[in-house]
Amino acid sequence: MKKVILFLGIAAMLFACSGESSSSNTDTFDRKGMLENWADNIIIPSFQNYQSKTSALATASATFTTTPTEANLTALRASWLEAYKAYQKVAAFEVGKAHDLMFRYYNNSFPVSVSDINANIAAGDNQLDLLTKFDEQGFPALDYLLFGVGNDTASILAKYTTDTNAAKYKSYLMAVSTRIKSFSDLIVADWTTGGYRTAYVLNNGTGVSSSTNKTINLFVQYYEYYLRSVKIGFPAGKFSATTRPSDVEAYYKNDISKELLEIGLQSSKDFFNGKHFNSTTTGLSLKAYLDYLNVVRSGESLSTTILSKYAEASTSIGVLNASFSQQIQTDNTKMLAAFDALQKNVVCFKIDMIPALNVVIDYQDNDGD
Amino acid sequence: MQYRNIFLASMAVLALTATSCSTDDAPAELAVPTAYSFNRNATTSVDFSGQKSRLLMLDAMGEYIKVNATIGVNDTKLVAMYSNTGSPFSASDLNASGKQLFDKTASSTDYFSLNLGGGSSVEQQAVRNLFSATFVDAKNASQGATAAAGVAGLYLDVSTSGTSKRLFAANGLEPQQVLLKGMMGACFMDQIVNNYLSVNKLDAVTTKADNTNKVLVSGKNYTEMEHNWDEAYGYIYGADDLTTTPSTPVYKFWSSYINQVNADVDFNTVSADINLAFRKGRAAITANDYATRDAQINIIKTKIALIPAVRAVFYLQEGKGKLTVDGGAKAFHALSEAYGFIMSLRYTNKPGTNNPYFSKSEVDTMLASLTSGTNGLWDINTLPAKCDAISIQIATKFGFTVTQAATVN
Repeated sequence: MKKVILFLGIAAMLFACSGESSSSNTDTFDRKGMLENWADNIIIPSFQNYQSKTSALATASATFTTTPTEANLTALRASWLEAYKAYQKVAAFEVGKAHDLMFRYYNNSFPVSVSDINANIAAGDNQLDLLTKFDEQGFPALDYLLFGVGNDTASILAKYTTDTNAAKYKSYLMAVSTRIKSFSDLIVADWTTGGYRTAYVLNNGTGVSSSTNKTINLFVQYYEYYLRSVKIGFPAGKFSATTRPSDVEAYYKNDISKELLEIGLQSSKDFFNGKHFNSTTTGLSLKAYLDYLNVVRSGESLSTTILSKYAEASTSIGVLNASFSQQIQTDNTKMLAAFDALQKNVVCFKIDMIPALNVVIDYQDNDGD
Repeated sequence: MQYRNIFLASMAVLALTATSCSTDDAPAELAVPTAYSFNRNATTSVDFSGQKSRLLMLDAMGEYIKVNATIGVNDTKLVAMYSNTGSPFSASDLNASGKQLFDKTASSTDYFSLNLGGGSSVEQQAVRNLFSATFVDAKNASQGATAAAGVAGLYLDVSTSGTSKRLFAANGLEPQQVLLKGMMGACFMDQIVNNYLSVNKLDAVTTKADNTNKVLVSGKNYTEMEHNWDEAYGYIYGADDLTTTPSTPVYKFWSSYINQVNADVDFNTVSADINLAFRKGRAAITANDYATRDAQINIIKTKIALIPAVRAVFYLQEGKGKLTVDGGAKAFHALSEAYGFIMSLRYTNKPGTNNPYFSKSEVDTMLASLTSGTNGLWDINTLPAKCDAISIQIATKFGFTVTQAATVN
C-alpha cells in the first residue's frame, strides 16, 4: 500500500516529539551551512572519487577487451572492486541527476538475471537503457561477467578469448563498464558545472521538497532499505519463506559482501557526523542539528544514542563471515542478529530523529492490513 | 499511489487545546454502541476483512490436515496455504485476498520490529520454521502408520467409534493442534496486542494527528487509527458468523475460546469485558478521547492474556486425567492443545511492561518440559508431575487456581 503523507503543519507541531525535546519554532539552525557542508565536503567529493574509480574501470575494461590476458583480467577485477567500494560511498545520495538517472536502479540491482545477460550476449544486444534491463547491468553484471561466467579464472578467461561468442562477451562487458562511467560523469558534471550545487544549497527551507527534507529521507531510506533489507534482510530470508544466499551483494566474487556493507555503514555514520570525505574534519551535520535542538531520549542525547547504535551494528556485522552467502549457510542467526542491530537505528531515525527535525517521510514502508 | 482526503476538523483542534488545560467541565459521556457497529456519513466505517481472511485460512489449514489424515497430507500444499501462493484454498476469495499468514507470523511492531519483549528476527524465523515443521510432521504421520512411541502416525480414538482421527508426530504432539493453537498466539495474539493495540503503532505521528483531524485513509471511510482498532477486533471476532441457519452461531479461534473460558463461573465476565472494551475504545478513538482508548487497551491486553492461560491449565489437567487410556494416547490431543496455548503465552503483553506475562525463555522451558520424556509425551509416567508444575506456574502468574481453570462449572 503506497501512501503519500501530506504535511499538516499544525498537526506536526502538536504531535512531534511527545514534549521531550525543545520545539522547533525557535529553530534557527544554519540549514544552508549544513547543505553546503553536505554538498561541498561530502557528496561532491564522494562522487568525484567515484568518477575517478569508474573511469579507471572503463580504462581497465578497454585494456582487457583489447588484450584479454589473465594479467589484464586481474587488473580489471581490481578496478571493479575499487569502483564498487566507491559506489558504496555515494549510494545514499540519489538526488538531482542521480535521481533522474535512477542511479541505484541501474547500477546495483541484484541478484542479476544470468539468463537475460546470457541472452543479451548471444544476441549481441548491448542496449542497456531499458527499464526492464536493470538487472542485466551495473556492478552486479560485472560481478557475473568477471567472476561467474566460468568455474575458474581459466574458464572465465576463455569466454573472452576462445569462446564462439568471445567478441560479444567483450562487447557486452565494455557496454556495461562504459554505462557505469557515463552515469558518474553526468552526475559529477551536474553537481559542479551544471549548477545543481547552487540550487541544492539554495533550497534550504523546511518543505517536503527542500534539500534538507529530501537528503534526510534518502539517508534514512538508504540505511533502512539498502543497508538493512537489501544487503542483509533479503538474503537472510527475513522477508521470504526460505533463505536466499545467492541474493547477496557480489555473489560471484562472493567474499566481499561484508566489506561492501561495512563501507556503506561507515559512510552512513560519517554523513551523520558531517565528516568530510577523506578527512577527519567535521562540519554541520544531522548530529549537530539534533544537538542544536537538544533532542533527548530516555535521558540521553539522541545523537549519542544513534552513535552507540551505529557501534552496535558494526559489532554485530563484524562477527560475520566475509562472505554473507557462506554465513547464511553456516549460521543464519548471526545474519538475523545483524539485521536487528541495524534495525535499532531505523527506529531512532524514524521515530525520534525525523519528527524532531520536522521532516516528513516520503518513502513507503509497506504495512498492509 | 494514495492521497488522503482531508477534512480539516477545526473542532478537533479546539477540543485538543481544551483537554490540555484542566477544566471543571465533566467530559461528555462517551456514546458506546451495544454492538461493534460504527458509521460515518451513514455508512459503516468498520473493516476487518483482512483479519477474517487470515482466520479462515488457518481454519482451512486445520481442516485440510483433518480431512487428509488417513489419505496423506501434502506438506507442499500446506506451505502454499501458509503463504497463500498458487491459489491453494478452495475459497476463491481467500486466494484473491492478497493476505497470508506467513508474513504476519511473529511480525508485530512491538515485538518484532521494535524488538521489545525479547523479540528478534532469529525468533521470528524460528517460529515460522516451527510451523513449517508441523506440515512435515502432519505429512509423516499421515502415511498409514499407527502412532506409537517414537513413531509418527494415526491415532484412532476407539471411545469415539473411530470418528476422531488424530495425527501424532513421533513425540506424541499433534501437529494440527500445535499449528492451530500456536498460530493463534504467534499471529493473532501477536497482531492484536503487540501491533494493532500498540501505542507505538496507533500514535505514530501522522496516525494520531490524522485521527484527531479525521483525515480518512484514501478511498476509505475510516481513519488509520480507527482501522487499526478494527483490525485488532477482527483478529478475535473476524470469522464469527452469528447469522447461520439453522441458528447455530459460529465462533472461531479466540472468540470461541473467550466463550469457553467465560462459560466457567470463575471467569464469567471476561467475554463481556473484552467486548465492551473494544466497543468503548473504538468510540473513544472517534471522539479523540485517547485516555479512554488507552484504558481499554490495558483491559483488553489483561483479559485476552487470561484466555490461553486458563485454557492451557484446563487442557493440561484434562490431559493428565486421560493418561490411563490407550497407553496415554487419548491424552495427547488435550496436551497438544495445551502446548499450543502455552506457545501463545509468549505473545501476550502485560500493560505497562512492553513484555509478555511469561518471557520467551520461560515459555520455552515449559514447552521443553512437556516433551522432555523419552519419545516426548509417550513417557507418560513423567507427565502428571509436569502437567501439575506447569499448571501451577501459569495459574499463579495470573492469580487463579488450577482447580478454577480445570473445571468448567
